[in-house]
Amino acid sequence: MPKMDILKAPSHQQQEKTISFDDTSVAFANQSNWQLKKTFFIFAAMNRNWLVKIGTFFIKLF
Amino acid sequence: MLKFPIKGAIKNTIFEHFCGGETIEGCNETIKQLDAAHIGTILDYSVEGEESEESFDHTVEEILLTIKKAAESPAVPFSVFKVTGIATLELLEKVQSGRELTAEDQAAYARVKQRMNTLCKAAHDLHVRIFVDAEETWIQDTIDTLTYEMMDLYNHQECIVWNTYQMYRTESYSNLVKATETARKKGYELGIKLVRGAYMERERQRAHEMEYSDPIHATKEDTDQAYNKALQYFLDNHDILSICLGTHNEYSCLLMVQKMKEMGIAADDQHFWFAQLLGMSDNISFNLSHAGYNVAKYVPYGPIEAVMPYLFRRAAENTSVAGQASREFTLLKKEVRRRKRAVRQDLCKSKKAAQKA
Ligand SMILES: Cc1cc2nc3c(=O)[nH]c(=O)nc-3n(C[C@H](O)[C@H](O)[C@H](O)COP(=O)(O)OP(=O)(O)OC[C@H]3O[C@@H](n4cnc5c(N)ncnc54)[C@H](O)[C@@H]3O)c2cc1C
Repeated sequence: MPKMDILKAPSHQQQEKTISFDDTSVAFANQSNWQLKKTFFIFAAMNRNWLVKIGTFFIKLF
Repeated sequence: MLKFPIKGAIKNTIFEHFCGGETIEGCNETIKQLDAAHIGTILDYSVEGEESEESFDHTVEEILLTIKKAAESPAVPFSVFKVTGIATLELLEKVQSGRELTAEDQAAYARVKQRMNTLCKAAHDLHVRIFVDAEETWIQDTIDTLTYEMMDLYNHQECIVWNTYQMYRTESYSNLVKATETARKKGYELGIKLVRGAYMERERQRAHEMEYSDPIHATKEDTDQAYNKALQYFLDNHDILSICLGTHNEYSCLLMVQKMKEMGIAADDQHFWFAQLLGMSDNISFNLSHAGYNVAKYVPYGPIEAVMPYLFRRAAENTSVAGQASREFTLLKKEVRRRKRAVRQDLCKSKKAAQKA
C-alpha cells in the first residue's frame, strides 16, 4: 500500500488499492436500469451549462 | 409559484435525484433504499425561508420532527440544522461585531439561544447526534460560541452536538485546536464535521468590497492541505473527538481509510463517519459502505419551490468545467456501458447454450 502524504494535493497514482472509488458496479448497484438511465440523462443535461442557465431563467420566470 | 408542467418536470428529474421528498414521510423510500446499502440518512430541512420569528419557530418544530425520526430509526444516524434557520443574519452579525445590542436585539438573541437549546436538549434526551452547519465567516464566531455552549451542556456523557469546520478558512485549523483544548479542559467530547467550505465566492467578494484581508486560503491546494492536516490533528486527538468527513474529495476519504487501517481502527468505529450529499459521489458513499465504513447522505427535503435554490446550486456544481465532463457523468457513462456489455455477454451465453441443446 503506497504511503499517503498528509500535505500532498490529490494525485491518482498515490491512491490506495484495496478500496476503489472507480468501482461503478458497487456505486450504482441500487439503481435499476431505468433509474440509471434517468440519472444519466440528468447529469448529461447538467453537464451542458446552457441547460442549467435556461432552467434557472425559467424558474425566475414562473 | 411554479406552474405545471415545469414543476412536474423538475419533480421527476432533479428534485427526485437530489432530494428525499417534500416531507419527512415522503423521504421514507429514500431512507429505505439507502439503508439497504447500509448508508444512513441525514434529513436536511433545506427550506430557505423568510426571516421572521414565526418562520424560525416553525423551523424548530420541523427539526424536532427530524430528531424524533432519528431516535426512532437506526437508518437515520444524525440530525442537522443551520443557525440561520432559527435567527436573522443581521442579528448574528451584530452579535459578532461587538456592537451594542438594543433591548429588542437582546430579547431576540435570547430567543435564538432558547431555540438552539430546544433542539440540542431534544437531541440529548433522545440520544441523537446533531450537526450544526457552518456558514459565512461574519456570523460563524457567533455560531461557534452558541454551539460550544451546547456542547458544554450536552456532550459530557456522549458526543451529541457536532460543530462544523470549514478548512478553506485560514483560521479554521487554529480554531479546531483551540476547541479541542477547551473540550479537554472542560471534559466534554467534541464532534467535528470537517468540510472545505461552501461560500468561497461570497467570502472573497465581501472581503474585497469591505477591504479586509481575504479569510479564505489563496488556492485550492492550500485548502486541500489544510483539510488533510486537520484530519491528522483529529487522529492525534481522537480519544475525545469524533469526526464526520463531509466531503466528495476522493483523496481525503482514501487518506482517512488508510490512516484508520494503519492505526488499527475498525472501519465501523462510531467516532468515524463519512458523509456526502444525496445524488452526488455515490461512487464514494457506496464503495465506502460496501467496505464496512460508516457512511451517511445528507438528504434535503421540503416543498419543491422552497428547495429550488438548493437544487440549482447542485446543478451548477455539476456543470462541465472548461468542457471537461464532471466526474459523476464519466462514472455514469462507464456504468451504462458496463451494463450494456453484461447484457450482450448474457445474450451470447444463452445463444450458445441454446445451440448446444
Ligand atoms: C455532508 C456534507 C456536509 C456539508 N456541510 C457544510 C457546512 O456545514 N458548511 C459549509 O460551508 N459547507 C458544507 N458542505 C459543503 C462543503 O463545504 C464543500 O463546499 C463541498 O463539499 C465541496 O468540497 P469537497 O471537499 O467535497 O470537494 P473538492 O471538490 O475537493 O473541493 C471543493 C472545495 O475546495 C475549496 N476551493 C475550491 N477552489 C478554491 C480556491 N481557489 N481557493 C481556496 N479554496 C478553494 C472550496 O471550499 C470548494 O468548495 C458540506 C458538504 C457535505 C458533503
